Amino acid sequence: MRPLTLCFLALSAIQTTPAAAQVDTWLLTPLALDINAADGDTGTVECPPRDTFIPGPLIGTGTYTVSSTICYAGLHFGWLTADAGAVLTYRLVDWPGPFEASTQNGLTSTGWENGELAFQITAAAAYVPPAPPTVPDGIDASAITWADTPETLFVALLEGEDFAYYCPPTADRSLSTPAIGSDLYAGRSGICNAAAHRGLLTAETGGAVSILILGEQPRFVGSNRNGIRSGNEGIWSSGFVFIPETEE
Amino acid sequence: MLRALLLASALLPAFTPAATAQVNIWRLNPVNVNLQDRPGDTNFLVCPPGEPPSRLLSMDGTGTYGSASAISYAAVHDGLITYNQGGRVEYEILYGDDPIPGSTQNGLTTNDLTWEGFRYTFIGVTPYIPPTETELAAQAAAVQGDWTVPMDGLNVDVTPGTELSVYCPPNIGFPDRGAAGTDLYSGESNVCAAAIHRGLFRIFEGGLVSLIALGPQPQFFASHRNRQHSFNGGPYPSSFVFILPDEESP
Repeated sequence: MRPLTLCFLALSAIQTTPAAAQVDTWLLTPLALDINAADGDTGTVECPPRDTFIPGPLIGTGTYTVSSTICYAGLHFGWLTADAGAVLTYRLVDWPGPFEASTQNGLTSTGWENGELAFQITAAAAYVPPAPPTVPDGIDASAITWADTPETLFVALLEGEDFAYYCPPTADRSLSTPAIGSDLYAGRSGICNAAAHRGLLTAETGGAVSILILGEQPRFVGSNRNGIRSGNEGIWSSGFVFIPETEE
Repeated sequence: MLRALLLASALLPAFTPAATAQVNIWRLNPVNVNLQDRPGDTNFLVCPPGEPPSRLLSMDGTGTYGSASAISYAAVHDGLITYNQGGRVEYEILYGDDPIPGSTQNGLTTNDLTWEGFRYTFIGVTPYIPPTETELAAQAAAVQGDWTVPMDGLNVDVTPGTELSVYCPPNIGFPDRGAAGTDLYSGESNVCAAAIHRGLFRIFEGGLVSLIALGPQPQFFASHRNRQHSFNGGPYPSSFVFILPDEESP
């Protein structure tokens, strides 16, 4: 456990602009979505519109190996365009092989001789972008997502300033950014998760919180609170605390 | 450091080095434990092994006791604990005017409970678990905090990033010196008072807390938490935050 933690610390220390914990769904494969995937299974994946490509593994044409990226397969075979995106449905098949290499729609796939578990895209539906979070009447705060941190909101360096945010209720915290620290949180912590860790709101109810931005702090210590595990961190360039409003 | 102390004493209540009060857990009643408990609230008290009272105690009721009755002796009277073994008792606050006769049980005599007001009754008891040798050793090895000095007046290294364990002895009433801030406390705060404010232990129990000493912060916020008020503060060159013990998963 310890070497892992050290490795994590070293990594995060050199990471100057930490990415929000957003999953790039274009890199998902049937195997990544379900490690027990088997012949006949179906699944869906959202491919939001995008303008830059980081092509992932793509093996086959029409029928792709189970470790190929689903969205890129859809783009390759013409199920969607990068401008519009789509919600793709796929079905797993036991394929005797071979998988053919080809270049279509600007993407090149590689080939593979042997049979393997594979998938075929069976349908494409229009991609509807998620509605931006809205703030209930009477709350004077900016709506943020559970992935937002002081760094993604570009307020991490505004030491001494305070900001009010509204965390919308969420049913799924899997795409949220974890909290780092306890009471004092690192600037790369998800604000909503930190608020939930501090006991100020829950994922079911959401709520408004105010934070005070702090400068560099030497250490953040995680803990298990209100059902949320927060992480540890060494020196981080910014931190924040919640501004008390009412009695607990 | 002297300047910091002078500044601190200007901002916070007078620096009154009071002898640490001897807290006799056996004499605490529900009002001492929590002034704000109301009918329907439950609370608990850990009674270490003790002795019969040296003089007659004013206690009233049987099974249900008046709120001025000492919890531990009432628990002996009720047959829940013994002087030799002590115990952790849970009780519920009630309100009423039903007369409840006094009685003599287990060597203690109570008066009739005739007045209308807060009462309490026991709802559970578990054995007293004495502190382990490891816990006692950790307490002894920690910085011995008292209720009067600020964090940056403790005679130890408080370089930002330093982890510090502080043992706060039991005390009664309200801390002699306050704390500035909420969650993040300024270095002029008394560690033990801040720990009460953060809800890490109850004042009459005392406790071992861990903190991380931090550097300058721009602002500290007042709030009222756990019966303890904290102060606002402007920029201050030192600060600290507690290392929180994990909560048990539900």
